[in-house]
Amino acid sequence: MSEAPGTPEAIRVAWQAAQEVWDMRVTLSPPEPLGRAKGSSHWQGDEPLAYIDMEKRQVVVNLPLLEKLGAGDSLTAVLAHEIGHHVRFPHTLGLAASLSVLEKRLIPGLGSSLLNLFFDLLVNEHVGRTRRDELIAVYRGFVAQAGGGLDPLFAYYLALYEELWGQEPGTLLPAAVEEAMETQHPGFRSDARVFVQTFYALTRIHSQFVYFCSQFIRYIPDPSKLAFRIPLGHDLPMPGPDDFDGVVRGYGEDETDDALREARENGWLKESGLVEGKEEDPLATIDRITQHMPGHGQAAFRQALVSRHYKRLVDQYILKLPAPPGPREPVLPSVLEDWEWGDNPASIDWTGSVVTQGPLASLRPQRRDLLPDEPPPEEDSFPAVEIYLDTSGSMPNPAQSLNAMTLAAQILAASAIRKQGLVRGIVYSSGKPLLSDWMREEETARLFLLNYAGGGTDYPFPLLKRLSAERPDAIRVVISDSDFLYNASPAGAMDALAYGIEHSRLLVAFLAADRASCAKVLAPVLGRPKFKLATVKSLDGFAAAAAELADALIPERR
Amino acid sequence: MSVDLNGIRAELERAPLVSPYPVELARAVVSDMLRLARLVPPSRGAWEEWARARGRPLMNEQLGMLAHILASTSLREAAVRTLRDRAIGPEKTLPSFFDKVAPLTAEMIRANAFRQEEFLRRFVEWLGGEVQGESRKQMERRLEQLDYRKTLDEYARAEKAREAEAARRAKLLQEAAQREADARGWRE
Repeated sequence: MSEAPGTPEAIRVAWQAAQEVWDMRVTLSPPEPLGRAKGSSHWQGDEPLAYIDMEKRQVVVNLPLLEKLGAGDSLTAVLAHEIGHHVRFPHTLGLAASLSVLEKRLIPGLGSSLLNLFFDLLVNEHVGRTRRDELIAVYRGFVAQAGGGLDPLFAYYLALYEELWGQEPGTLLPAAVEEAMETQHPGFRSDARVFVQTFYALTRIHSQFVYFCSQFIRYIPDPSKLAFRIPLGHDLPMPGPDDFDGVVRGYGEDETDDALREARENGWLKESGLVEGKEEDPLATIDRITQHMPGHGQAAFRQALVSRHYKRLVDQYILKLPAPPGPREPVLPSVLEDWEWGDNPASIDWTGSVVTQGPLASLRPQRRDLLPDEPPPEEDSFPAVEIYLDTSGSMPNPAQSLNAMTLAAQILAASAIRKQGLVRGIVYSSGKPLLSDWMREEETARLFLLNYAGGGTDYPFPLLKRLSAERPDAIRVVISDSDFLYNASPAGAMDALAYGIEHSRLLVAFLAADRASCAKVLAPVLGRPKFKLATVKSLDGFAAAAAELADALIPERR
Repeated sequence: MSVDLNGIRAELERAPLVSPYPVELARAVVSDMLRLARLVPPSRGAWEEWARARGRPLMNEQLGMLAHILASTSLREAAVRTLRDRAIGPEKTLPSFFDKVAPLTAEMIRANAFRQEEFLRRFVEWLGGEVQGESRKQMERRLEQLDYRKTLDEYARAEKAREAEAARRAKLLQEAAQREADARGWRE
């Protein structure tokens, strides 16, 4: 006798049967009803039927909705569908990321990704071999709920299942919709039939995806406005920064090239009007990846990918270090002290207070400050490096195109930090410059130096004077182009520069400019022992020159 | 006699083809099936004549696949049982089977689930058997669905509409690509 639907025993039995569909044991937690899991996972949509959280390896199913659709007996198929995402399609989010980038290349400006539908087609082919009728019940239930108003994409999607499962037209797709589709898109039914008989015969997943895009695009009137509500159509989590970073580094590149070649040979791209976005630099890829993400979290996502890309570029120049030291903590907690009235309440360490004061913790709270991770005394003699980075509009935004000056600054910063040094960044354009704290951690410095203003160029001479007075033992490096010469030309500016030079261990003007012009403008300070001029002829040479400069300026610690 | 098509396909999945069957061996396997059904197998001359006939350039490789299926699945048993009841000699009708599957290459039959199903259904149709769990009408309907030549003909009929849509779409997507490139702004 079968169990009543929704009971723990019924779920357990269905879970067992769902695993048998894939003929393998899976390392997933048993499914949870929606109500218990919602709010603690990646799911952002409204009323999903089911989804899988691949990070937590947790399947969640909406039992009341399943009942409402009249598909209460389809629980096994729905669970098998979710298991399919885990064990086969996509199995890893790295593959999902690779296909997602390919999708954005083929269909620029697509409002909503089709990737989930693509994986659903693959999963349902397998699940449908043994649980076809259960899946049909789910889709039928949804069609009934929609009340006949189906968008072209959903109509095509349903026609595909009718063809795949050898069903009569009308099994899933209402006759009126079929008729309307044939009028709007002549050859609609034969499209579906040819798709099914071609798609599942392709052996490589990237090729399948290009073919899928080339056919589905016909049923998307305006890609930029695409939004759809299809059962199980949003049940996969989005790949994370690590997955996309793999793609930026080249994961799936060969497969993508092969798939595009196959598509060209078979005429899929031309016949569908898809664009074959040209191979592009990694920053453009990152831009594509993040462009249509929901506003929430997009900036941080983009920054993480850009930062990793720049780190790789930095490493190309300075990875020759024999033994880079382990990263330092940006800050360390101090010992506990009594908190007093007037102290910042945020500095109270309640755990520490309870441990040391017991029941008196609320009367005598303890404070703990976060202090910079100071190096051991023997490292104190190492000079600090202050980097003045020009981010005016004459250089690109480093998040969108490679900015050679930003990269040079990052190379200098990374060199200094890997040699156990201290770095402070000053990012300027026009207006108030951005000033960092002293940094001992590469990632912090890299992220700070990715800041960009994009306005005019106005070197912050007053700040140079102030910082020089504060810390005369620092090495100061100005990274700019010929604009710096205009900034330094006025007499007041030259005086400030001279002051900065006198109050620094060394001040280096590292400029992408003609050496003769530099020598002419900087003549008043050029002969000073604490001033060095380093020029590069073109921006391409900035990174290599920065690595050499770092070697010369910052000696290896003994 | 009904044939369990899903069962046969599952058996085939478990017995992958390692190398193609030589023609002589393939003919022998099919001839054995006929002998077991107490029928006279075709002569060597008849086999060669059928393979030479116009419109059957793939017959020998199709014969190789048929032999593989008969040798590695329960289809042979089902075929023998069904053929025993038939009055007409196979030499009269076997070529008609190869005519119906004429465009299918051995690779298609081996690797494409739909083409494999079409091949098997055409064979069951030639046998005069039935597919388990399906009525005659359902069988015909499924064969119609699987008839790739017919599907492609229907597909080609809407070619003009599709071309016009593709041209419009290409323009739309190129504009979107341009907008994205412009938004990225400055290029070195």
